[in-house]
Amino acid sequence: MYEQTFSRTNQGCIVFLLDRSDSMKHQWQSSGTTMAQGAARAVNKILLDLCVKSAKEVGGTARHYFDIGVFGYGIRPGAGGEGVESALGGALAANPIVGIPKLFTNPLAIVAEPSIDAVATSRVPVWVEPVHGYRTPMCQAIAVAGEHVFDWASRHMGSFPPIIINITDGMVTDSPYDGADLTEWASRLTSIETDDGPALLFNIFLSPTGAAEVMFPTSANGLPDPGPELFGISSPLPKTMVANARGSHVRVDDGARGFVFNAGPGTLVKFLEIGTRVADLRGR
Amino acid sequence: MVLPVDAAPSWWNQGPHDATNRRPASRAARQSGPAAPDMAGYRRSARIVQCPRCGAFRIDVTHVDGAGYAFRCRVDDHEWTWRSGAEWPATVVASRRRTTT
Amino acid sequence: MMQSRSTCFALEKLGSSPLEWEDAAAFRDGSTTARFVVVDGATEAYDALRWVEHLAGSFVADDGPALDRDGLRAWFTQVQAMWAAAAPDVFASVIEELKFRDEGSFATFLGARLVGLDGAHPRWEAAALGDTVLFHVRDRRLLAHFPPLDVESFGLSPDGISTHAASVEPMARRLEFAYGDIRAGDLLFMATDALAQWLLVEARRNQHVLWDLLADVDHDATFAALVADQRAAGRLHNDDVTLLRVAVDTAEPSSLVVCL
Repeated sequence: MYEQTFSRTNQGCIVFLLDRSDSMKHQWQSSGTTMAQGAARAVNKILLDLCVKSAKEVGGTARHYFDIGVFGYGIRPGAGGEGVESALGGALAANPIVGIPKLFTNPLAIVAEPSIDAVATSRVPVWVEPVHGYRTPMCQAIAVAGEHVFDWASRHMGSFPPIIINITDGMVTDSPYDGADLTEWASRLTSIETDDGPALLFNIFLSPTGAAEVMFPTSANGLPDPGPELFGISSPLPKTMVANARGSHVRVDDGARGFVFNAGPGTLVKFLEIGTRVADLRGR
Repeated sequence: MVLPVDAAPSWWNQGPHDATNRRPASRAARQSGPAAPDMAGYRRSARIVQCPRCGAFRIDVTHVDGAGYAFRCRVDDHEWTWRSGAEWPATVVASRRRTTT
Repeated sequence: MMQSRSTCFALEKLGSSPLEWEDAAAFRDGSTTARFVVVDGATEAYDALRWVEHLAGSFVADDGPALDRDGLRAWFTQVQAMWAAAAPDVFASVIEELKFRDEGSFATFLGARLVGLDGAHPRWEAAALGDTVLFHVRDRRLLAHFPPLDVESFGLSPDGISTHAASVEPMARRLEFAYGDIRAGDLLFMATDALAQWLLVEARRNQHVLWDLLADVDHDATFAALVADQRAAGRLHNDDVTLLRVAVDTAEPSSLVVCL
């Protein structure tokens, strides 16, 4: 299980569930941004990383290594009101799951962003905008995304199974939804499988407070609500990801789950990098 | 875009995927090109002709009186000559140098 | 006087096209200058095909590098300049520009040469960065492999040749060197990581059969079938594979083999 790498023959499927509820408007620790802005920036950063990984030749488009979905839940800027819709805008909005080549050529905008050394700026693409409003229909998000993940898996049985990463700041407000609670919806989602194993569900809990971060825990001990519930629905990290994490000098104990509590900006990006990488870490 | 929620089928009740016919093609189906030759009688002192420019093995060869052999690569059209006793030309094997498969 | 007679077999990763094979190799057989190189482009590197071609071609060129730390340090700078000079004036997209500038390209490196072929103590010398491996075989037995990786070590090495100028000194420091005496009839095999790992495992199982087989492969289709079988059996990791075989002999080749 979990031995496939991403290739054009065996594409990967990476789906983000992005909390766009009203509470995401709060400041994110001491980052100077709201949680909505921070989460959108992190998702954009990972989408850019996936595009960069898929860029191979001079003048070429991206290779089709990945299919991507970003489902926003909470406010729906497109349809209005509360619910679930694709958070990818513009030309991508019509497709719940899009291939990297299409993502590559259809960012919403190219914006200037300070580089790490804060001296120069880079021009980087943006696909997801930070918005927030309404409550937190997380179960509905899994129901909607699950349909597309299920369909994708049925067409990619030879692939690494879908990776679903949920980014939220709080309590689910629609459990039970359609007769099933959050745990049941998560169980349904992770029962989707390819020949290489069951789908993976990882959870990222953001907090406005600067409490201690807990990344890749092996138990829910000491986690305040909704930590234990989110830990409970998070998949164990496959061996390849454990190796990748350790290769990036992140401590991961055996039995760790794909869950992070009180993630700050740096941790969020690190978590996403580890959780979306399955190929051998070669450092090159 | 609005994604259908109410109209969605109960994907969680549809059971495991039917993996039949979805597995990778067998090796036999993937193989193409000439069959592996019988190696009986092969001697290790032979040089296998490989295009010096791209490394391809599909080569046309003619004997030229007094000049050894003339070669032409069917992949990149590179031409070269060689005669017994001379050094084989430096050979680079790189897919970027192949114009066709 | 001894001389080398080389053949290089390769096969792309299953699922890729032949033109996407991202390793490269080169050899220069001769009695005075005999040089060999195998490089393995990183899967996520930018324009790895161009980088590995540069590396392989320049290593066996007339002005190829000396096989010592100073010589290779100068060569790293030289090939990086070649890389930069061939950059496009205008990139097709912001993403491509970011990839070129921030990540660049990367490949493992295994270079070797034969020295003293006309003397009493001929030997091979090799330098390496990364997990492309040289195997020295005599009488169907493995005498040595270099770098001396164990089966579990593949895929973990961060070493290789980068296009970043800032990497030249670290690369030069991390170069590994080895050498060994050779005799007529010896074989050197240079293999990229997946195949090298398989060779180490198979050599433990029945090395006489293994080295006989590899000494006798005389057709790229035979090599392709061997690789496909081992992949299908789950013994060989699905990756680009390259095998450069160097036969050391005192005789001129008695025949030419042209593959049908």
